[in-house]
Amino acid sequence: MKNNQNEFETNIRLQLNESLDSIDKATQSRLNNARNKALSAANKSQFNIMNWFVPLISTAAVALLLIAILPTNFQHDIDLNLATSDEFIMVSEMEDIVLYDDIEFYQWLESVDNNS
Amino acid sequence: MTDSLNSFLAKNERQAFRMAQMAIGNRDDALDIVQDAMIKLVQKYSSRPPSEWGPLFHRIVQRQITDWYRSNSVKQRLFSLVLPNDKSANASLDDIEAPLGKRPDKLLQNDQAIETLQAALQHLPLRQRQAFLLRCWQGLDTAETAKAMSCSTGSVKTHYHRALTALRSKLEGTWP
Repeated sequence: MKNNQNEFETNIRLQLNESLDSIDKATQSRLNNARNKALSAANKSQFNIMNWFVPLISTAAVALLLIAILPTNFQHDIDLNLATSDEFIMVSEMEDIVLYDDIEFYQWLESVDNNS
Repeated sequence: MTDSLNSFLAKNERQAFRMAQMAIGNRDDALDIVQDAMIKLVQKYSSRPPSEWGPLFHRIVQRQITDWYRSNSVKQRLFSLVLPNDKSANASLDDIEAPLGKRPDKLLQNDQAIETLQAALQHLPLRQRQAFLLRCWQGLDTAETAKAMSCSTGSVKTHYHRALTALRSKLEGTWP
């Protein structure tokens, strides 16, 4: 029984693999274009990150300089502000988008399962 | 990074396209789904380790397919799947371009077998089809399939078993 099942699955897999060979040139060309478009989007995204990265580093450098030259009795308040600012940057730039996507994805999936 | 992404997508794009096409029966929509999935993978997950790209890419594709189902009418779902090259149905054997080492008559035989298989797959509920294709064709294990489908491993096993039983019942005796 198990061998029959494996043979059946193998036959299906082979047929599906065969179907890849029959993809016509026009479709393959569109797939290539889609891939190139996706990869260029990645490059564009990296470029945008660099556009943000340089001003961010510059701002941080200026902030550090201000901390260094300001009187020590203001140091505590400024540190607190910077910590808040750093936390805000971390929260806004890191995984929140991915996390949001995951949450939204699971909510969406649950609603689909509930409806089915 | 771009080279490895390019290699990954080049390796997986045709399978993803076929899976989308089998699910929705429309070449252009299937291409759009694959393109959107590629863009999403690259934009959101390219920084992840390459070993994670496979399950993530499949997950995105499956979600796109499910979204397509949700946003299209019943009429669009009841399709008759046309094989990629529409002309091939009416073309003579001489007109069919044979990939290297393959005879046109063998190709046509394969096309018919594939068409039968695709029709059987199309009759499966979406979740069963997803579980079956990811497990049997993509070669994902149960845990990876569960991740791609965002469900439990138990659900994957159930969907897969039901799909296999249904396909055996539909194809036995009429399919090689």
